[in-house]
Amino acid sequence: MPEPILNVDDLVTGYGRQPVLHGLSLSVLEGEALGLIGPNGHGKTTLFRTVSGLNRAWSGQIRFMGEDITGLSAAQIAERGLVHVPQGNRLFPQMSVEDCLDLGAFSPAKRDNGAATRDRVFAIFPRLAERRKQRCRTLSGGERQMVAIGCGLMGQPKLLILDEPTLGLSPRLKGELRDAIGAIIETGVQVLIVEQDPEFLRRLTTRQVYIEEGRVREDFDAGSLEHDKMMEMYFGLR
Amino acid sequence: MDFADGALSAFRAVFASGLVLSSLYVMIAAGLALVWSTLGIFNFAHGAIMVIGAYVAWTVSIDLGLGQVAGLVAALAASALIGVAVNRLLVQPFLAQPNIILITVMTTLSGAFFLENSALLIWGPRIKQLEKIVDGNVFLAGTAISGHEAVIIVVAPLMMLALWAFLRFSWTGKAIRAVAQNREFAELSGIRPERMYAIAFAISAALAGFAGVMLGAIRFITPTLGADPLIKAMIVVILGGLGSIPGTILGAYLVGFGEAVSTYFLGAYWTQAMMFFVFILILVIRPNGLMGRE
Repeated sequence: MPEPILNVDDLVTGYGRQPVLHGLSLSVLEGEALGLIGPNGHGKTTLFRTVSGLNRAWSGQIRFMGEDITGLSAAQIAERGLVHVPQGNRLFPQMSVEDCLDLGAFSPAKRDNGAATRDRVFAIFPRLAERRKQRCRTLSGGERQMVAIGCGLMGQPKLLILDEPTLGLSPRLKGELRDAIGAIIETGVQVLIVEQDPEFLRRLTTRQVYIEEGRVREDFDAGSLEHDKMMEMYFGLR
Repeated sequence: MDFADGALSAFRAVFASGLVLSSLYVMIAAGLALVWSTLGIFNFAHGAIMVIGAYVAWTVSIDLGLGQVAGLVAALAASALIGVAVNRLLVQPFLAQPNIILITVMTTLSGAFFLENSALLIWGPRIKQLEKIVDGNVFLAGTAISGHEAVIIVVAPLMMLALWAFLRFSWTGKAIRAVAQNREFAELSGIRPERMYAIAFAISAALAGFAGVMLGAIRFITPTLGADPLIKAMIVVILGGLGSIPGTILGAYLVGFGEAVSTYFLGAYWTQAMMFFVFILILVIRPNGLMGRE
């Protein structure tokens, strides 16, 4: 069996002295798109922040493409092609869309391909091409999310981790973003997505994992996230 | 006609000295503003770094007799190095603290005392002066100013232009602004914030060192030479709207000309008080400074 591209093993971390993840283990296998679901405040964002190096792991190990990346800085991890698109981001408010995207390819090894990658981002999100000179803080929530994902793509990821990409967006925009993420997956970028909407995950990902109280609770195969499981997750009905 | 002549010559004198003062304040305040906008702290050691720059230039160019260019280069290198050290030792260890501004007021202020007293120990209490970069005088609006002062007037805006272009167009400059605007998102983009902080501090300190070399030829160099310009530069930065470069430039010229006008008509004794009065008045009307946001 090939080594998973991301392997999180027995991860414990939290804020201050309060643990949030209590020994979470999870793998993203070669070629799959993994979705994470679960109630708010149960550690999904904390997991992403720890994987991408923004938070320190208290114990446990994170391996990416066979390399131990536990304890590396966020910049080092991004350079290796594990790119985190954070939740509800305000980007670089005073910079133009174009500058913001360019900075996504900051590390010298990625700058050379920057222009070509930017054209690809504009092909996926044509609206960003129209707004390329506009400052990020003047963008709408949906456009900002597009820039955030665009910046992630500029980092030329092998694995793109998306934290609630459609948070607070209208159903129409949500559909637009879902299609865009689908197009990104088709280009061969692997994704790990947190979402609150099981339908959204079922359409995009090949496997879903249910996280509760800082642990993996359930592992579902493609499309099997059943209705009564959903009811139980969100309404506590058994 | 006597009155008109008097008014005209007064205007000329005020204009020339205002321009020199403004240009000096621009150089000093720009470094302060750069650190403020990147790290959100005030570096109270900025004036002391400026003084060390002047002393190092004196040692290299006059004491060792290696010439002015060597003196300037040594001053820039020394001040940049001290800037990096101040950042590493007095700022970075406290960056995660919630009351970072207050802590760094204390740490950088103690850094300033340390540097001033070191200067006193190393270079002694005897006052020193650098040679002027250019000899002779230049006529500006009918008033004679030294060639050195003319150089200051010309170089200051050019330096601002260079700083602006650096922050706007270079990868490093953009990354510095990115870290200032959203540190975490910058990290996720592959930017190393610690490196950007060090670079911003080095540039800021080198600007201070340059200002010190310029100032050291028109005033006497003492360990506390930096104290007064530092206060003026702080007024400039706050007045201009913290961290905005256009605001800093506007603030510097306002403070410089204001000081010249006030010194001419009210005398040096009242100038400081007058300046703070106007400063407070402006902040009452525009609490975020002249060009500040939000």
